[in-house]
Amino acid sequence: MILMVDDEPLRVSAWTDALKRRFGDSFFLFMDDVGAFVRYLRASGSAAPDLLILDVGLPTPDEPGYTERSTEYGTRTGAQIFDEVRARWPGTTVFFLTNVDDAGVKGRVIPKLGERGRYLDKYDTAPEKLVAAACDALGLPHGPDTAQEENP
Amino acid sequence: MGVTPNCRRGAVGRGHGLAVALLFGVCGCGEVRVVLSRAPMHTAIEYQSDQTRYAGTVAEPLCARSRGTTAARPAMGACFQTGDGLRVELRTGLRRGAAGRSVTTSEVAARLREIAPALRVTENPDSTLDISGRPAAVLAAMFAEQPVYWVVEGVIEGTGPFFVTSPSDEALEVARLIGVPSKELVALRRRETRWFGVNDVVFYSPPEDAATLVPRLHHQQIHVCQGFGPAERDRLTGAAARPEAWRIEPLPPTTLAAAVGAGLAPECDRAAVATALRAVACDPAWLRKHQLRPAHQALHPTTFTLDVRRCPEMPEPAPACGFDIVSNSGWGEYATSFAGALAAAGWSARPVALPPPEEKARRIGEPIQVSMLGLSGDDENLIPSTIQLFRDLRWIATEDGAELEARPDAAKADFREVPEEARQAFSGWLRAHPELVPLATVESFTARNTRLSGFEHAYLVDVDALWLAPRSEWGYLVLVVLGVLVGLSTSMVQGRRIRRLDAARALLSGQLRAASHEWKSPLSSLRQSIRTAEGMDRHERVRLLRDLDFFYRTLQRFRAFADAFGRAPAPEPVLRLRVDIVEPLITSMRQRAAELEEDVRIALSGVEHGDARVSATVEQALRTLLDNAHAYAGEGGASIRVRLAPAGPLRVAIEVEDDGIGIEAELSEKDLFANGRRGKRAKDHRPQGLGIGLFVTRQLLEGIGGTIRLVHREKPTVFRIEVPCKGGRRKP
Repeated sequence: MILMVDDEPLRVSAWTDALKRRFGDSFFLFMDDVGAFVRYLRASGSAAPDLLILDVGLPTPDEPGYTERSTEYGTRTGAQIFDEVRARWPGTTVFFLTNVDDAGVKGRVIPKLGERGRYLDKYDTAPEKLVAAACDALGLPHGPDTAQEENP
Repeated sequence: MGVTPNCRRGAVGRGHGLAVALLFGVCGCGEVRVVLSRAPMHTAIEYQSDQTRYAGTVAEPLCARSRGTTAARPAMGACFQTGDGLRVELRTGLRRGAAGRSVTTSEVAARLREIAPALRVTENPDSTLDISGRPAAVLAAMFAEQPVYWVVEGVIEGTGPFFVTSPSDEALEVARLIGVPSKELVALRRRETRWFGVNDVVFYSPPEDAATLVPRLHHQQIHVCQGFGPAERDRLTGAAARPEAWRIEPLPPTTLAAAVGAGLAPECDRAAVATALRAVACDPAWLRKHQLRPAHQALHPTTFTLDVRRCPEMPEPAPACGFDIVSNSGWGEYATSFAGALAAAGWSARPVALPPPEEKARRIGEPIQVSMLGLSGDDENLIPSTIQLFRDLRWIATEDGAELEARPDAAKADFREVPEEARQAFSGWLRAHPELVPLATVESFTARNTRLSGFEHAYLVDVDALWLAPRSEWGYLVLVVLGVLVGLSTSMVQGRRIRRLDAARALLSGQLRAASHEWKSPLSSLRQSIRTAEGMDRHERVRLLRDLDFFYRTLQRFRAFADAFGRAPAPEPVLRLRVDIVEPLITSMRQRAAELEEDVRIALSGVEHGDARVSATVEQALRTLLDNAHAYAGEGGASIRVRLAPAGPLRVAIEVEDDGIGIEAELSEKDLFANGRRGKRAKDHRPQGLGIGLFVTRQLLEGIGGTIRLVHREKPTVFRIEVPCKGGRRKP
C-alpha cells in the first residue's frame, strides 16, 4: 500500500492522479487530514503502508505530542511525524515530497531515510518520476503508463 | 633671554605639530639678550650689549617668503626720536634679502622714497636714516610725549601714507586707541599687502593704557618695554639700576622649577626658591654673592623673567651655553621637565611657559610647542642668523603645507653632526615621557650659515598631541573615567543601532525567505499542471515552462540572498557531498532541460573522492553555477562538466566547466561577483536576469570559509569552488 499525506490535495493532484493511474485506488491512499493520519498511525492494528509519501510543511495536528513549532518556512510537522513513523513503522519506505529545501530539515531527515527513501522536491519532481521512484522502492516494474509519461 | 609672548593659536600650523626646536650653540659672553617671538608671522629680536644698550624690534613677515617675494626687506634695528621725525638705524646685514645678500641703507632709503613719496628720507653718514613727515611725525610726537612705547608688530603698507597694518585686529585696536587717525587705518589684507622694509610700527602710549591693553591683546606680538633713544636710554639706564623701582611680578612656577633644575635651590623648598629669586631680581649684591647674574633687568619691568644661569666667577663672562625652553601652548610642564633634564646634563636651561591664549589651547588635539634656543654670542652675525634660523623653525612649525619648502636646503647648508650629548639629553627626556614617544618624530637639521652664526645644530621634533594632558594624577583619572564613559556610551549607542539594524535585516530576510517558500508551493503545482495539461500546444507548454523556470530561479536567488545576508553565519548541518546530493541537482536540471527542449549534457566526475563533509551551502552554490551554465549555453546546448576533487587538507574543490557563451574579458572578476552586475554578453544572450547569482554565491561560500573564483573565461568557462571539510574523513 502506498499512503500519501499532504494537506493541499488540489496542489498535489498531478502526483496523486499519476499514482492512482499507476497503482489504482486499492493500492494508493491519500490523506489530507494530518490529525487523522496521526490517529491512524497510533491506532493499534493499523496496517503499515509499504510506502509513505509525506510532506514536510504540514499543519500541526491536534494530537498529543505535537506542538506548533513555526519556522520561517512555516511548520515542519512532517519532520516530527517522520520520527514517529520511523518508530512505529520501521519497515516502511518514506518519500518526502515537499517544497521545503532548507538545510536544517534535509540534514536531519535524509540520513534517516535509508537506501530506498527519497527526499523529492516538488518543483523538480514530475509525477511520472514519482511513480517510477515508487515502483523502484516497492520492487515493482514501471507500468505502461509510467513508461509513457517518462517522455512527455 | 626673554620671550615675547605670542599665542596666535589660530595661526599656528596645522594643529597637529609640536615643535621642539633645539638650537645648540655656544654662548660666549652671555650679554646678548634675544627675544624670539612665537608669532607665525613675525620674528622679533631684542638685544643689548655691554657697550650700547638699546632695543630694537625686527619683525619679519614670514609669509613674504611663501609668496616668493624677492624684494629686499630691510629691518629696522632701532628708531630714535629726532625732533619732528624718527631716526631709523638700519642694521645693515641684519636681515638678508631673499637674494641672499645684505640690504644696504641706500637701498632701503630708495625703496622708502619709491613707495612712500610723502616721507622725507635722509641718509646719514652713520648708516642711519632720518624719516620725517606723516605719519612718522605723528609717531615721533607720540614718542616725545610718553616714555613707554608699544611695539606693535605690523607692517607699513607700501603705498601712500604709512598705514598701520597687522595681521591682528588687536594691533589695529592699539593703533586706534593711541590715536592713529581712523582714516589712516587700513585693515591688512594679508594676501595683497606688499611687504617691504620697515616691518615695525612703533607706537608710544601712556603706561596706563598699556596696563589696560595688555590683557586684552591676548599676548599678541605686543610687549611693553622701556623706551629708548638717546635721552630715554640714559634715563632708563639709571632706572634700571634701581631694582626697587621695578614691578616684580610673581615668578612663574616654571622659573622656580628651572631654578631647581639648575641646582639653584632644593626642590622641596619652593618658597625659599621664590624668595631667593626675588632677591636675585632685586639685590645685585645678593646676586654677586651667589655668583648669579641677572638679566633682563632693564627691558621687561612688567614681564620680568629671570635668567638663572650660574656664573661662577662674576663678572666673568657667562657660561658657555644657555637655553630658553619656551612653551606657549599651556604645556609648560614639558618645558620645565625638559629644562630640568638639560640642566642635569650640564646645560644651562630655563623653561618659560607662556600662558595659553584661550582655553582651547588645552583641548585635545592642540599641538604642544616647545622651543629651545642656544646662542653663540661672539659672532657679529648672530642676530640675522638667528632670525633666519628661527624663522625656518617657526615656519616649519606653523605654516600649513610649507614644511618642506621652508626647511633649509640640504644641498646648500653646512650640515654637521648633532652633538651627542644634546641628542642624549633629548632622548633621555623623551624616555621619561613615554606618552609622547609614539607621537614624536625627531628630525635634525643644521641651520644655514653656520659659519657665520656659530649655530651648529637644530632639532625639530614634531609631536602630535592627540590627547589631553592633565596637570595631575587626578586629571589623568578624570580623563580615564571620561574616556570610559564616552566609550561605553558610544558602544551602547552603536550597539543599539546595530541591534536595530540586525533586527530589521533579520525581519526582512525572514520575510523574503517565507515569501520565497510560499511562492514555491503554487509554482510547483503550476508547473506540474502545465506539464500534464491536456490539449496544450507543445510550444505554448515549453514557453510557459520557461517563464516559470525563470521565475523559480529568481525566487531561488532571492532565497539565497536572504540566507546570505539575513542571518549571521552559523554552522550548518553537515552533509556529504556525494552523489545523492549532487545528482538530484543534475537530474532535475536534466529533466527541466528536457521539458524545455534544451540540450543539456552534464558529466560528473570525482564524486568518489567526495566523501568529505561540506556545508550544505555548497548545494546552493552548485545549483547557481549549474543554472548559469544552463542559462548561458551556446548554440549547441549546454555541455557541463562537474568535477570534485580534494584541494588540500580538509578542503574540497568543485569545478563547474561549460562550453557556453563565456565571460568577456572586459568584465573584471570583481564586477563578475558584484551585486547586480552582468556582462554585456550575458545581457545580450538573456536579457532577463538580476545579476545576483554569483554575488550571493560568493557571499554564501565566504560565510562558511569557502571561495569561488573564475578559472577560465570561455571555451571552457570554469568556476572553481573551494570549501572546507568539517572534520570529515576524506578518502585518498
